[in-house]
Amino acid sequence: MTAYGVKKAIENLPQLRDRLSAVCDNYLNVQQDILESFVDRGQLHNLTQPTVLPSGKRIPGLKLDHPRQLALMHALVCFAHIAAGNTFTTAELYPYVLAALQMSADQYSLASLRYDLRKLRAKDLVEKLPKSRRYQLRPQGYSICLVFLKLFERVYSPLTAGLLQPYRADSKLHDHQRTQLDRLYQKIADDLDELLHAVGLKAA
Amino acid sequence: MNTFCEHHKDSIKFAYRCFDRILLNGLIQPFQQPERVIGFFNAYREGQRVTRNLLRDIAQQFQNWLKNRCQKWGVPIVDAPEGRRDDFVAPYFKHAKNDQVVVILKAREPARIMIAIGAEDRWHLQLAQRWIAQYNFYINDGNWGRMFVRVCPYLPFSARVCLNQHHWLANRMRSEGIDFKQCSNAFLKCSHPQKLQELADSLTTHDLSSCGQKWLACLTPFFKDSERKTCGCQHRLFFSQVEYCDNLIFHRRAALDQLGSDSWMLTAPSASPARSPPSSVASSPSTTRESFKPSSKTSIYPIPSFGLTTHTGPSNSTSAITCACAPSRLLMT
Repeated sequence: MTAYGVKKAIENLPQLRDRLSAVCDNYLNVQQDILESFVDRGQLHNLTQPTVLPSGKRIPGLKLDHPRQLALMHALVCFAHIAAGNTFTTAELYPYVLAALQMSADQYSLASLRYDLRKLRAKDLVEKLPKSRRYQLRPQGYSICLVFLKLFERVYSPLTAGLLQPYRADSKLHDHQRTQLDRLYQKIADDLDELLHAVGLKAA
Repeated sequence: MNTFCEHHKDSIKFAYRCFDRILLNGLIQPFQQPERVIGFFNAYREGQRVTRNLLRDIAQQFQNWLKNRCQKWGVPIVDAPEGRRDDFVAPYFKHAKNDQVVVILKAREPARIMIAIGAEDRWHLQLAQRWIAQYNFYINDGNWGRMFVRVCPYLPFSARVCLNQHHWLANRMRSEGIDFKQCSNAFLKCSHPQKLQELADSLTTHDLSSCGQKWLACLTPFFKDSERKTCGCQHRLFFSQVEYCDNLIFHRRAALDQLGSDSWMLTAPSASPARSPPSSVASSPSTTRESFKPSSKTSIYPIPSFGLTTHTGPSNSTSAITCACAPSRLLMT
């Protein structure tokens, strides 16, 4: 109690009550901060983990950069708006996935598509309609596919390219000569450098 | 209002804050100094020499008095169980009258007692830690409800008083005619939450001391009333462990479950091992409370330990979160 500035005699009851009440307030304020912020609670990790079905069958998890998976997600996001009740069969989806992968049917079979689709089903992103061979992309599946696609195509890939294999000539351009997108990506790269320096991970 | 309550106010039926368990140490301060003990015997006990035998006789007289009292009260003296004492004594409280001692638990517990070192005419007094048989009086007090008083039969008669403001509030609400439903250490329903908070805030030092002094005077027969008044031979009370809880009663259980899965487990700091959470840290009796147990003496961080207590009930029924802190537990054990 003395660490909270309150003496132990019971005559200090009012001060003790005020002090502990303030502590409760602080705690609840911190709780609310945590609830409001986007804190990782393991959902992304769960998506990447294998799913074990009740039958014991093990289905691999999702990967952030798997080309076949990303092509399937791309096709799903584009195909979902077709006015066929937002449902599809694997045969209907197949051509769109091939186009996204830029592969032929010999290189990527329908069975391979069904295998990849099973991973999304295991994570409840796609569901099979009962007594049917049709599937439906669930609302959260649509959101997750978009997140994965955007992260890869708009963030990971361009940033990785710019960091690992930048065009040398770009560094000689003045800011006003660069496109807005390039300036924005460069800003992220520069801010990352600053962050790494601050946390003690400066490149040797 | 804190941001948590502000954000969740539409889900919160009512909220209140109050003390929960209050553990007080009782010390007769003049008797903490051997020379003052000798002075007392010189002035009030005809100069009796304080020897080892005298100290032993004093303890024996307490035990004889206790046996007689128990026969008169019709109260059993029982060996303390190995498990939780709250559960063990609960049946004794059924049909208990106001201001009644319902059961006495006897247990060997450590205490600082006065010992006499020497022989014949030369004796030296000092305080020492010893394991001795102490008596825990479980009482149904007229104001405070269920409480216990632990008394050491050896000089200087150190004592401990355990009160719970929830029981006190229950009695106050009954006398005010306020309808409520109490569940372990929380009120899940209350017809007048604002009045409940006013009553909780109205607890004063006098409420604590009057209860403590009443029972300590009754249970330390060594002193006469005149001695208590004239030479300061009455216990002074100090906080030992205190729990203060913020109880949030939600409209729906589903809202509470979602909150629990999102935040509490990630964030509840606890410098004290075990005892349940949010409401009361430390040994709250709620069955659903996270665990908080009294911290060890080696705790050096003045970090409040928080517990989350969720009171379970049927789906979609009213549910409660209690957030409690007990910083004293970290520092004073």
